[in-house]
Amino acid sequence: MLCAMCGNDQARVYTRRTESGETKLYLCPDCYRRFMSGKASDTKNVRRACPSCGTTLDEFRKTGYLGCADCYSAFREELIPTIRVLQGRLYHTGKDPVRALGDEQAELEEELADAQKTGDKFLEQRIRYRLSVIHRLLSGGDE
Amino acid sequence: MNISYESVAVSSRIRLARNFRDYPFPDRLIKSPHAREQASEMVRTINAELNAVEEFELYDVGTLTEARATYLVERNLISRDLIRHSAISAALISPDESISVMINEEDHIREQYFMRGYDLNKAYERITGIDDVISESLPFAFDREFGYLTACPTNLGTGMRASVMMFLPAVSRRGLMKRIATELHRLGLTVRGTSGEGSGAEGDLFQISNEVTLGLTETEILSAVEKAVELIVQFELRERARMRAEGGIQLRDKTMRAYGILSNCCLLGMKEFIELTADLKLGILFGYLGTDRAEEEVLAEVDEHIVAMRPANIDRLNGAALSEEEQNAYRAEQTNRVMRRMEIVV
Repeated sequence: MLCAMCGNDQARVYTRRTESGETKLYLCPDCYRRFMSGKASDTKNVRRACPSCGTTLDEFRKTGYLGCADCYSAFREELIPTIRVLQGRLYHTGKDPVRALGDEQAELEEELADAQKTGDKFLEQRIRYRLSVIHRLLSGGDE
Repeated sequence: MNISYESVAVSSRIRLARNFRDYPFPDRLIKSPHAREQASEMVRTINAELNAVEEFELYDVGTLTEARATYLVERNLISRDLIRHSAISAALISPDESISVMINEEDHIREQYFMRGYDLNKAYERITGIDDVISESLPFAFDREFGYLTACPTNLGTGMRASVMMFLPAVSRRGLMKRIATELHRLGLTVRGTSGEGSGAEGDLFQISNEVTLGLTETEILSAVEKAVELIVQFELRERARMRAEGGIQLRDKTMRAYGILSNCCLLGMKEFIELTADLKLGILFGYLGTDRAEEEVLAEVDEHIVAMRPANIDRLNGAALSEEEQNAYRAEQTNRVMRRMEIVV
């Protein structure tokens, strides 16, 4: 197996203990040294805190936990090497709640047009209610 | 010898980890001065959404007695991490105990579906439906690149852990688990003991699950776990055949002794109980211990009995807390009864 970080050299399996449990790292010795010393990412800003919850990069490195969803934006660049090491990949390809809601919204809009044509007020009302829920979720809960 | 597929792949479990965009993750939330109000709001909204669709019982972890909480942990319906957050945590559990939704564990939501038998696709279909309902309560923390955002990046992406509990007496007693573990790591999968991360194997039971959660679709993850499970089933069946051929009278003696002790003992500690029931199951699978009932049914009854005989479960059945020795006596008496009920023919 090749190193998960550089992808060039043969990987060894290292076990890293954090408060969230044990993690296996598949790295070559050079990348492992860089990763453990924090040089695999930008370490100049370790004291920088997440603007939403106040978690610092140092805290994350110590505990293995992030404080809130915004930490992923605040520390994005620094997190990328860690995520690549842990997961081997960087891009989500699975279930997507936004896409699913978007599809449902499109279908409901068609159904709404049909209900308006047939004059089914009860159905129209139900569809409008569901569309308002979807709209609220897609716009992030802001009315 | 009639050894079925499900005598190896015993049960299936899918867990999804989710967080809400507008609240700090539980470890941070618990430190907030508004933690209780925010947690109550979260619990109230999810409870209303889920109970509008099907019946769930709500457990406020902060008000549970230690005995009740341990009872639920022993039944794998809640976790120790959920109890650690008891000031803000809750659980919604379906009446048949197949679905459990933990609120404010390591992540805001840990949804799991558990079923006896091997059917990961059915388990996923069920839990993704529950996930869709919860997604309508509050906006999830979701990122186009990273997927579902989790407190620990080891769960990022799909947030999904698909696991199959496997009864592997032949592979493990013949010292071949290390080979399986190495192979699984290569495939982005892992093997753990019965109670999940960091736990040892009890009664030759091992949990096979995915380690990687990002960059694969849910279907790809399920298919990777299934492929591994199927190979391990074949491996275990081959090793069982070898074990039986080589085991001779000593192996038969071991399983018969297990049956003898479980049928007649007066005190039975948990560790010994687990070891003996594993031998008993092996005796049934190898045909040393006969029964008129279907093999799967008998094995399922033994496994259910194991859960029911854990300490907090015994106290609940008994209606009052017992000392360790009293529990051992209770476990022995109940097990004697179960053995009689099974009408095993030697």
